[in-house]
Amino acid sequence: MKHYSIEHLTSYRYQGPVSDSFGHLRVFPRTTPFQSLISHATDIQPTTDLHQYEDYFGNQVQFFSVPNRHSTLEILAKSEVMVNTPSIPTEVLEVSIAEARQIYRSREYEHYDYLRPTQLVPVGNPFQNYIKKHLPNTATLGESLIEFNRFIHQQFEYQSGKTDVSTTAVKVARLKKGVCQDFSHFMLGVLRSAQIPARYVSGYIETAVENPASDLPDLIGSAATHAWVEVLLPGQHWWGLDPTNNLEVGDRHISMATGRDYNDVPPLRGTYRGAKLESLEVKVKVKRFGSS
Amino acid sequence: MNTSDHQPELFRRRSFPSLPGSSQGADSILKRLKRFSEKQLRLRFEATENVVRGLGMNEFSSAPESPQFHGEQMLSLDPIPLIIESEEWGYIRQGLQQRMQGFQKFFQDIYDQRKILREGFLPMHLVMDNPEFYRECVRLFSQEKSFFRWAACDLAKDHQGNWHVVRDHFSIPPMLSYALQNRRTQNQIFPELFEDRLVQSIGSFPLELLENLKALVSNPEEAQIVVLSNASTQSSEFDHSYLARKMGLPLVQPRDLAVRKAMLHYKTIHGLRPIHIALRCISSNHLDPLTFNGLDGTPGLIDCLRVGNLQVVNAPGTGIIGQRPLLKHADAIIRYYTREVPILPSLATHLCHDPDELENLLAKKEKYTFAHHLNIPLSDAKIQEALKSDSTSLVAHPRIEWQRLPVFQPETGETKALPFTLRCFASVSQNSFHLMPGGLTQVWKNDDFYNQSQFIAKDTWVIGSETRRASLSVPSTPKQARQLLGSRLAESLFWIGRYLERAEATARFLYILDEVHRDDPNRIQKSFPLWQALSLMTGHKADYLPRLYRKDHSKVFWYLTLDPKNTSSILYSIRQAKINASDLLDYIPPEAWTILNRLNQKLTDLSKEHTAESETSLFSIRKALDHVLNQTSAFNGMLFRTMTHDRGRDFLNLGTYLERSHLTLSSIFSLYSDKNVVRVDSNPEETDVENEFLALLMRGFCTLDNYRRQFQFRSLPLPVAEFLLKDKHVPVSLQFCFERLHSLFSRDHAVTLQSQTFHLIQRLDGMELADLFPIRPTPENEEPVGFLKELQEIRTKIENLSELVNDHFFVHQAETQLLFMNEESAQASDIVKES
Repeated sequence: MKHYSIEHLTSYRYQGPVSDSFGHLRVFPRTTPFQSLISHATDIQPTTDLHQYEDYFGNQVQFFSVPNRHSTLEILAKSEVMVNTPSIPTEVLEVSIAEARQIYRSREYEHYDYLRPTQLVPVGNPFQNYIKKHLPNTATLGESLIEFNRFIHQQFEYQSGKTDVSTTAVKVARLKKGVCQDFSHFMLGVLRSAQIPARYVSGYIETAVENPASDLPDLIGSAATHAWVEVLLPGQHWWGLDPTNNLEVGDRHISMATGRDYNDVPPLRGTYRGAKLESLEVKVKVKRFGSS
Repeated sequence: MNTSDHQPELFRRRSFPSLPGSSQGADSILKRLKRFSEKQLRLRFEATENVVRGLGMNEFSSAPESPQFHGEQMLSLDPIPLIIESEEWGYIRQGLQQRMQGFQKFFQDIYDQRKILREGFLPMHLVMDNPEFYRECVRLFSQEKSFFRWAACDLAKDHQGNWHVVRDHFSIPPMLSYALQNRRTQNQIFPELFEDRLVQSIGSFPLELLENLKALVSNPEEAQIVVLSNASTQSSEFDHSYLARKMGLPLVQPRDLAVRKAMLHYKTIHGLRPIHIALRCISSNHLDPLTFNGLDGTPGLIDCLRVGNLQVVNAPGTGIIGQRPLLKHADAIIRYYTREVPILPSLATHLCHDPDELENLLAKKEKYTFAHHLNIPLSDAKIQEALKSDSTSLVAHPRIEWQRLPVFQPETGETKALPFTLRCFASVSQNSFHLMPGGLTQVWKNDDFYNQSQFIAKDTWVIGSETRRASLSVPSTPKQARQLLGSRLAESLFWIGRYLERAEATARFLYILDEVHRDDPNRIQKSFPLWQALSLMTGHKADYLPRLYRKDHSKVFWYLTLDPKNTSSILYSIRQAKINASDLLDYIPPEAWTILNRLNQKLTDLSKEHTAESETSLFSIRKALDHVLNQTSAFNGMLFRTMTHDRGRDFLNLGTYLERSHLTLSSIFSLYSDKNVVRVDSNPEETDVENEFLALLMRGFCTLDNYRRQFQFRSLPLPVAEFLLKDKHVPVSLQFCFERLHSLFSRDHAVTLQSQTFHLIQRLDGMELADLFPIRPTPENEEPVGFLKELQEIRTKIENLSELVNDHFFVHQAETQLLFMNEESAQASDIVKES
């Protein structure tokens, strides 16, 4: 069990005065069997009220508006969470892919959304070769997925600036470059094309461990938010895989929101009127309180 | 269980094999039509066309919900109505009531528990992959509610007399206005046809709907309701503005609205006013860019809905059912939710996305008609192409021999039989169902009407005495509805006033200058001062127009009249006035709009005809000036006679007087600072001769005769200044404008503005011109003093006034007053740039 405090600061600076800033935030850590929320506070400057609701995918969304004139906007989300390493029953990892598919089919209603194509994650032809190679019918589900996770990590180059929030999984397959969001989209595309339900997770990652005695490696996740994938296993277990770091999701990942792709879970979606954006800065600090 | 024999009488399917109402219907109407002489008939048909054209309903798009498609055409109205007897109508009503109840429950389920999918009664993909199924709307509403408060269904009748539902409209029922207006037109043009018949009236339907909407809130008397439209095509604009007018509601666009503290507000000249109910006439995903990840709409609108501060009717997300694939399962849906056999069957539908089904369909291709799943009319060629490459976009309906209706052919006096559909409109709530006794009958050129957009309209008569309903709860003393004038409308009216005033004044001055030029082309100096004045009036540097004139006299006329690139040309002003007026189609009378539209067209044509040859170009410029002078007067006269003299009218006047005060002041300032005009150094005798420049100026303002009557004296600097500045009875005088502005501001209790005009009036009153004359010349590079200084200060005050007007009435960002003069230029932008 690990105890984290997270500070997520988003600052917009405009070239001149703006007004009518409206936004939907998805920066509220989830509560799951392996993650519990101790506290959360979102502070917005200029000060304004927040309304909160749960969206279709079960994420907590906070809605704010700053109608009056301003030239900077700062959003500071502070959370404290406890995270456990998820425990997945080994037997569900041992079924074959064909068997798993059959089980999925019998419960189509539950996960239909996570099999269908989206704007950022198309399914079908571009991914068929990967399925043949990495996810054949007879292979064991757990092993193949871990293997495929490693494959992405090895064959795809982490490089920012080559892609943006609108880059599709098909383009990522062609570039073989990108950031966490792109790797996750690519993985989703292949899994869904193989009729394995999977969803996109947005969250934080503890990138470096400050304790010098630790032998844990530094992880890629930059100073902003992170993204990975959750695969549905028979028995309705969601299993987190992080292709960017070649990891099974453990107690160094803190999840905020899930959806079909990035468009369902952006940390902030907003509109405003007025001057152009001068700078945008996102800073995330993930701190661990002594390990236990 | 499916056979109707086991059903109670209520649910038994019936057929009505006779032609609708033929016993006493179409035949006798036809007999009456045949009694008209050929000439009478022609006149009646022309009158119909005039009504249709005058209303602007001649163009329309047949599918407002599918923005991809804009089929526009002339609407024609056939004089033989569709007549339905009360028994048959009763059957239709039962069928539609059952259908709508079923779909009401369908929406409640689909946007919450989705039991119908969970239990496998409906294929998942029809809902989950439907572009009109919005996950954003799932569990959006806290209470169980009616998802639609009004709806429409299209019916067709086969030759055995069975009615089928061929299409549903549960999102934005289109063309109600056409059904209502067809009845009015028919009544106006062929009143004889209604004689001896008990035709149920339909005119009160918009009010029924309004009452239905008001029932949504606890305090209906105080509820502020708007019709929310974005007017993408002229026809849907007609449709929505007609509806708004008949319900007495403001027609607004997303940019007229703003969200403050999770409450939707309407930007009006009185500030932001809360909105409680929006009748939605725009697609669901254009409501709110935040929720639907787009750039259209009002940010935060859905959040108002979520916290319960706003009702949107029909609810967003109700477009699922309008799509053709759902028609296949419509009867199963009704059966699932009502546990009854559907009274009115839905048109049989096959999906082409299933390869097996497609193969079967293609094997018996001649038995089917193919249609686009989103109701976009397709040509035969397009269908063939889609069958090969994109069959998922198609559905197939069996070919049915539809019953036909006689359509009158005015040329021969005979009739032609054509298939038809009937669109029925209903206002519904949990405990009420009101079907408008009538509808829009559309006659098609053949049985494949799924792929057509052109139709002939017919009025629809439901025979029988009306069932009076008590539900229209009229308060004992009806309160006068609070009239709200939207800021955008007010601003448009204001700018029409300004642009037309500018165009007219420019035209009049050019007219005079042309005359002077023709009198004596060699004495070009003579008109220099006036050209200078015109420079200032039109926003140029003083010497700009005189220089242009000296270089090429025909060019300066062209520049100010027809040059489309010059923002101070008359053409540009008229075009701007027209653009502003097109925002106001539901506000200014159509006749006035027509005048402006034609004037703009005429000037545009003349501008295109322009040739380099100076004589021809002057000829077309004179024509243009004539048109401008006649038509702007005609427009203003028409407005004066026909437009309600209300707040809107005030804003038109506000624009006019503000612009006029600027024009008068600029011209006086220009002429009086020119020492060739006002000779300060000469002896008194010489200054006593008629000042021809000032006389010309007054002619430019059409007020020379007034001056003569008043002073019975030559045009001299002092009395002319007295006359043009201070005489409160002269419409071009500054004081006249100030007093009008002052009274307009008083009506709006605009205190800051009122005090401004008050000071201006005082200042003019207290200005002793005799003390300020003769005018001392302003040495070069020095600020003017005395009279000219006074004028300059007043000029600055007028400019401020115009900014204050903008701030007070049009822009509602008190803190951003002078920075955001016009919010329209600002764009909503996506600020998401996360990695």
